[in-house]
Amino acid sequence: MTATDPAATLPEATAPAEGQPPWWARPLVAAIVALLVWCVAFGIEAWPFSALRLFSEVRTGTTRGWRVEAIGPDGSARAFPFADVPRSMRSPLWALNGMFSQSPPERDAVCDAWIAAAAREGHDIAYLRVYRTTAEAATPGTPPKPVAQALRWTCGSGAR
Amino acid sequence: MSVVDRIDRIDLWFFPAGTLRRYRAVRTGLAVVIALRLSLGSYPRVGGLPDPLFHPRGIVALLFDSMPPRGVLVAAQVIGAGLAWLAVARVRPRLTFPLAWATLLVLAGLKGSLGKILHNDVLVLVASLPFVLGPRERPADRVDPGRPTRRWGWAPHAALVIVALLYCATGLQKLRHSGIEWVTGDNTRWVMVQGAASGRAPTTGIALFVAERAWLAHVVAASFLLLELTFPIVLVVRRARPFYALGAAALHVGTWLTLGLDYWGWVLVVAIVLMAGDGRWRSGRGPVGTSRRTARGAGHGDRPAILGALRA
Repeated sequence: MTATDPAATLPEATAPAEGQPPWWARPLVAAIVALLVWCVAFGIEAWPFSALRLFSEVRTGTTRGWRVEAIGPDGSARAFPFADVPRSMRSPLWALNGMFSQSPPERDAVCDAWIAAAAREGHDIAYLRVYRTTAEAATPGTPPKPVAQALRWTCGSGAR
Repeated sequence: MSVVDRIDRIDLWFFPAGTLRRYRAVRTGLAVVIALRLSLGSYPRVGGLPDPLFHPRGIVALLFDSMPPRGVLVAAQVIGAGLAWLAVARVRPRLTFPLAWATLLVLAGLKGSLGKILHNDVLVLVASLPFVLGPRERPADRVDPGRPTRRWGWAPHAALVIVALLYCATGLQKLRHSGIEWVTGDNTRWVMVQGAASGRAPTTGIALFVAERAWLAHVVAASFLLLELTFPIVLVVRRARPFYALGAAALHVGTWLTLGLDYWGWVLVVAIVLMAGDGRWRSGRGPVGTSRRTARGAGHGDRPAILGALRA
């Protein structure tokens, strides 16, 4: 350092080495920013980083949903009693959406889990039928009307 | 300007001088958010989830093969909340803050293992990352916590960059996947209608009010998208920060009222990161914690040793 260098007149506690970010700060920040950009650019969901696709798809009057039907040992059909299973299992939307990419044994395992949970509450269910529903509303504000319902899967060990 | 000078400038911008006071304020504020989330969250609800329904992502997938029992999650939540409140009280914050952060990371990650990541805690977790490994406060630092130094400036600025990037990316994803139709079409009207029908919002009146007026829906959509896309302005215009903090609050309060979405953590994080401990948002431009002139003055003795060697 020269005599005219401002650093030369600073107290020892503010010498350049004391004022530096920690050595790991630069790689850490670079890694965070890189992960953020990577997840967004390639649609990766890597908790806690995300692709941040929050309401990124255009909504229309067409809504798609699911209907799960419980089939009893006698063949009777009724709506699956989601209200009676543990709270962690009452919102099946994501599990059902995930079934598109699952194999038949994997779907059976999901359905068996729901059937077992319902059985603990006294429901006797042999297997499940999963329907894909479509409803359409003509304009925002008008009630949607069901237009289609298709059986997607019959699942559960009791279905085989 | 030489290449080295440019690199020097970029490095100084990303890792500016800042005060220990602001560092403590932002870290404590983030600790409050973590403490509140852990104290009020319903994370143990997913305890005991059967394996076929367990779909962990990211770091949670590395740590867990199956969902822990509810009792374990309750215990973790209680301990984590306690640690977070200790961090708020600045009791061993270099230990309590990262442990509380890790607890929220795991519990929120487990809650989002039902097939879809839940974004409610994403902002506080990612924005807190620069503070998880905090420098040790030395006696010389405590003598004058208002003295700008690069040792303390980089973390709050990194959090600011993270917040700005997250919001901007959210807006870019809307344009990327939907184009301008996200604003010009009936998208917002349908979102409002379907939100009102979901039964989760505290009231349906506001959502239906917007849905019934196409012009208002377009204004709402354009405002939200503009806010998100221009969020990086807070990185260069300090005076804009209160407005963006208010804008973020309006966005998230609005989505709660119309759709029932719980993003109050995001409101708090934005306010904390943009303004906590930095009374100089009323004036000046440049990196957080200092004006550009002060950054140069304070940073001149703090130039990166690597670049200084290159220029010698």
